[in-house]
Amino acid sequence: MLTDDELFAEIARRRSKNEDFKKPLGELVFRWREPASTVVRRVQGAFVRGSPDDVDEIFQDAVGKFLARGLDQFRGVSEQVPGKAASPKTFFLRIVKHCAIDRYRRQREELDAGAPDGEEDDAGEPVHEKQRAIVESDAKASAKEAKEEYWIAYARLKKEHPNEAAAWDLYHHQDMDDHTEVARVLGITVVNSYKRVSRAQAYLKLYLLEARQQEGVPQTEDDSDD
Amino acid sequence: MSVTPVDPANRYRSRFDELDSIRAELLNSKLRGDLGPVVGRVLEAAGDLIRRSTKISIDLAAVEKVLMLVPNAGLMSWGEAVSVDDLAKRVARAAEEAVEAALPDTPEDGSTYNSWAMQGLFARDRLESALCSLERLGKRGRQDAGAIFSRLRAAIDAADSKLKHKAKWLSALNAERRAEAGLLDDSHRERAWWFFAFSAESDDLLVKHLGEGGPLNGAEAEVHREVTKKRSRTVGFDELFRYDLGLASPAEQSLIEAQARKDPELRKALAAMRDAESAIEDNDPNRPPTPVSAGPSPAHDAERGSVEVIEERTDFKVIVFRRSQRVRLVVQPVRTDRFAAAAVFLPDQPNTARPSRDTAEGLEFDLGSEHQLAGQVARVVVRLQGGGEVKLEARL
Repeated sequence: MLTDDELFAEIARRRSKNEDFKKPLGELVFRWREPASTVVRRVQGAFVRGSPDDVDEIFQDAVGKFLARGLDQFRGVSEQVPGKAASPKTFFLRIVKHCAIDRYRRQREELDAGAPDGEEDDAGEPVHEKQRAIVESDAKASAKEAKEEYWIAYARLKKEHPNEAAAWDLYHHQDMDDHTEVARVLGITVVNSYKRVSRAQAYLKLYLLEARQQEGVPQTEDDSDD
Repeated sequence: MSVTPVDPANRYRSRFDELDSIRAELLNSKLRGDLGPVVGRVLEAAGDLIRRSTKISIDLAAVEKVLMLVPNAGLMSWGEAVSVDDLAKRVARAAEEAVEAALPDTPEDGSTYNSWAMQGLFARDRLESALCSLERLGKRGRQDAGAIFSRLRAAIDAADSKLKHKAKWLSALNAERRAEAGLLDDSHRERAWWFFAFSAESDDLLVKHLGEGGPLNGAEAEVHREVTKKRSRTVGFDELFRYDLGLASPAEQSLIEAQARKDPELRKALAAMRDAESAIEDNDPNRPPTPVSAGPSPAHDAERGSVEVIEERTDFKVIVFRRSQRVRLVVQPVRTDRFAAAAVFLPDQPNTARPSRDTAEGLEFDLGSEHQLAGQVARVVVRLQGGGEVKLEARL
């Protein structure tokens, strides 16, 4: 039987040749099922939230993330922070850990949003049932958010102009609203902060104009000569 | 920042002299090698003049005579070398540079970006001139030129349809764009969106207003409202993951720490991150294995070994591993920026630190056989950055 490292190397080899690698990947992550459950239980313990039934979904989520970006990311992390990615298994378990954390953070946010002060749970519905329903709708909610045009534009800004995105994030999303503070956090001058935030705004608006035009949103008279 | 050009018409008039000198080259029967670059210069220079023939009075018949001299081989070579994809990328980059020119960090940066962006637009314009020349050649019966024209025209039209909207991005260059558009013949101006579209004076400050605030109308006003709408963003999966792996930038670290101060849920997530980490470490194949939770016999347990966390702090952990009848103590930095050094002393040599080695899991001290060490107490000294020192005892 191949070791984890050998199996992982085989997956990497197949990927590089555009060959199917799902079977060896499935075998590899199956070996890590038990430790993954342990990791999930630790996260549940810290959050005082969740149930044993969650493990399956979190495991599947983690496999998806490992498949989508973890395989490449592992190589990068191995090079940058060797101690943090001692093995593919360790790296995978960290993905499991973060999938679990993400799940329970979102669950809390949804519970907060869904239960105003003083409102009792619906007709005595058990809390864990309510949590489960929330989790099931969570994927839909996050997909909806990901599709919101502003956040798509912001994701593009992060990718294409990360400096401007970082300044805008602090200034606008983190309620900093103060160029002196933004400059301090980013280690830049106040003038730079002002300019980065200005460029971020301009890019975001231009991205939205672009997206709306490509989607065929009717243009106003001002755009008629475009 | 815009820079008013100095009589761009003169630049195009000089194209006629350039053509005249290339004509001599083309008539030279000893000309050898790839003629593609020379043909490209002819096509561009001739097209530049044909497209501006109203404003720049030159002898168009003389221009056409030079054009008809281009050899087939050179034409084919030039046609094969043209990359519309590369040109489209250059124009897209020019649009980005124009935004930087509108909102530069310094006035000098503004001039530089302005110049770079205009170079991108000139590159697009030169291909248009070359196409104009090819079309003219095709109409004069040069089938080779007609075929290249059709292929490139289709490709660049497709690229233009995706790029045209970026004319709005170019507002900082408007003074020069207007000057260039003004030189083009009416029949060619509309097509030259890179110079003409949104080049009215009323559009000059569009990008500046989008960035810094200012009067906006229509679609621009709508996106302004959308972008400036109050929004908050909580730290997401990727950021926490990068933070956990030590890959977060200083700004990302500050952001997470600042949010954690205000957000008990994030504090809980950070605590969960640390708690689960110990479970991961226990399962690291490069570490001594942890006891199996159920099933194995005591003998099996002894063979697989055991792990005991002696001390767990925010800065470091002290862990004792027992495996194959050996005892190893590991001082594991949790925050590498806080950890400086560690030493372990055994009672038989209280003033001599045990030898250590760096491993993936931390600083490892091989203390000796489990049997000999049973009941002894090891003294662990951990030095932190900034001079702090922590002393612990580990019962073996």
